[in-house]
Amino acid sequence: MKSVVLLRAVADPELAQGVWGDTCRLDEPSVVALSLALSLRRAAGGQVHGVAVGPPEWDVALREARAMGVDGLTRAWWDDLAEAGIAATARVLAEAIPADAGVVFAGSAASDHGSGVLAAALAEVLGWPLLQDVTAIEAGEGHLLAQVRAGGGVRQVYRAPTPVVLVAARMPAPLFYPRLATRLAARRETVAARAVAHEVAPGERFELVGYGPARPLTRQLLKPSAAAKPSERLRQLMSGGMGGRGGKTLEAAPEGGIARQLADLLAKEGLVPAGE
Amino acid sequence: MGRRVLAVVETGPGGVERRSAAALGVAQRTITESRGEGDVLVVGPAVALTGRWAQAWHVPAADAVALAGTVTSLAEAGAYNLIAIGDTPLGRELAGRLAVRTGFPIATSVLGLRERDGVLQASRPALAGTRTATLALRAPTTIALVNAEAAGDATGTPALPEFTGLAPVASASPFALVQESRLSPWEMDLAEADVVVAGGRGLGSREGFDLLAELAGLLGGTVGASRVAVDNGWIPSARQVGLTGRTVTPALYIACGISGAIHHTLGMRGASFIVAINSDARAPIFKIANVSLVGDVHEILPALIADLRGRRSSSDRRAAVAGAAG
Ligand SMILES: Cc1cc2nc3c(=O)[nH]c(=O)nc-3n(C[C@H](O)[C@H](O)[C@H](O)COP(=O)(O)OP(=O)(O)OC[C@H]3O[C@@H](n4cnc5c(N)ncnc54)[C@H](O)[C@@H]3O)c2cc1C
Repeated sequence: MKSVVLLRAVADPELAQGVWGDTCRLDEPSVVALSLALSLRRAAGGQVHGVAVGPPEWDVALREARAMGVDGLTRAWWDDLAEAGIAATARVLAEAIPADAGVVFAGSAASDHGSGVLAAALAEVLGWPLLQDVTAIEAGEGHLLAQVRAGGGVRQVYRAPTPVVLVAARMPAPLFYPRLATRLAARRETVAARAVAHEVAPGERFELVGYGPARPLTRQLLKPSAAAKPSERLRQLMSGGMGGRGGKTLEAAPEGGIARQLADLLAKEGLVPAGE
Repeated sequence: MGRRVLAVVETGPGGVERRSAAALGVAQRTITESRGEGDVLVVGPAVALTGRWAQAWHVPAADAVALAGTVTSLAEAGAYNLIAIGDTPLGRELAGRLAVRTGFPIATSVLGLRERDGVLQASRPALAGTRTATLALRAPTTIALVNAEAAGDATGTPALPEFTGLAPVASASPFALVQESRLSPWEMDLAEADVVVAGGRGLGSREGFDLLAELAGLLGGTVGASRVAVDNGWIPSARQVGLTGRTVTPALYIACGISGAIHHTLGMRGASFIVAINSDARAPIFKIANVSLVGDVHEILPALIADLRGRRSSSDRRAAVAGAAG
């Protein structure tokens, strides 16, 4: 089966100093998606084709994918695409996908976008179903078996028809160690560039008004007052004494201890069920 | 300018899903600030909502393809300026499919919306999270996929709106579930875990890790460790997180009795939310933690486990009641 993997590159300031003079690399979600596509090829044969919608500067990162094992690469670009919305990008991607492809692998979330909507838009353009949070893939008889992380420690396996768009779960990217000869050969490869025929509708563009500081991290320090006697500190600890970094001490929370406060915070973050 | 807003909200037995609540809050704030009006579509059980909604529709749980059909019809009839959707797996798929069907642009990862000189502006993380970008949304209709961290908490007392039931456009899922298993903390690989509870020298013994496994089990996660814990033989080396161990990117990482040496933090700093429990208020791990607890793990962990057990049984009870009612 022919698989397609959606690739995206990100600027890497550390690489700018490197011996190769590279300035970008594949983003982590793309590498995770690529590793799923390669595992399917190992199990069931076929080919893996890398597709990207990005500027020519990305080629250096795309060749990295070649060294990691993709069989071919296509990059589509047109300057106006820099400002194009997700639906326009999905249409351009769809045109670059080989007609005989049975599965498209996408990364969980592009680092800047923080959302995996592009894969969904692509599935809509192609008219294919979409399965998210995929952690492993196997080939069955005329179908795929996709392992999915369902949350709460539950693992599910789905029988997926083809063609299908699979979105990899958020996972650490595996390390690839291509041989030097392979890397050098990949660096000489040409990436097939594809002209884009689309006009980008003006309504799809957002105008950048400006940048501001990043939103601060949610932070909370729970601790007993440093000024208190040891026995008092222990009492506060058990009863939920809480102080800020500046040493300000809040009244011991009457409704429970420090562990209760933590459980409440986790519930507020949606990480555990809320209490009664 | 009075904005017309549609909020798409997912609900469960416990009420509005947390990420949907952020979308509901942003929608409500936009309505209030622009003196506009809004409608709400609830996907899941009909529950009480904050805010004033001109129309409230309700569909039972639906897949994204069916829901995209429903929302497209509502959008065609409603002439909305904003469609606010929570950043859930269903919300992401819905937003992507809706954008293609309707041609409306999507602003993703929206942290907040505000009116400036008659133009709706959205803020969202940019440049790998190091800055916040402000975008002017000039399209007649924009889909906003709202970040769970969005400002604009829903305010007011929740009340049950007068819901109109909608039948989702039928679409059979093409995916067949062939196997489902709940993994124990020791079966789950570090890389695939959404929650990692990790222990270090401060745990003091192999038995300390039994406590961690109990907590990880309650959170549906797995157990990790610092190198010192591995070197002491308290836990197998496959569980080591850090430079010479594994890299993890869970939604939640709880570091218990771990100092936060760079060799360790290199393996876990990609976690979305970090909780550190350490008896030393100056432990370096606190510099990268979202929540820092200064205290003894041997006191905090059993209390936390007991608290979570209580919450779990009450949420199981709620789910059973909702199941029996529905
Ligand atoms: C080349 C190299 C590679 C390395 N690779 C790794 C690696 O991959 N992963 C890794 O983890 N380390 C690695 N290390 C080791 C690393 O430098 C640290 O030594 C190690 O992470 C420390 O482990 P720790 O935090 O458990 O122990 P410590 O640094 O001893 O910290 C223990 C912490 O527990 C707290 N504590 C004690 N008692 C309690 C209590 N009752 N309640 C709450 N808190 C308590 C203490 O305040 C302290 O902060 C590496 C080192 C080198 C040189």
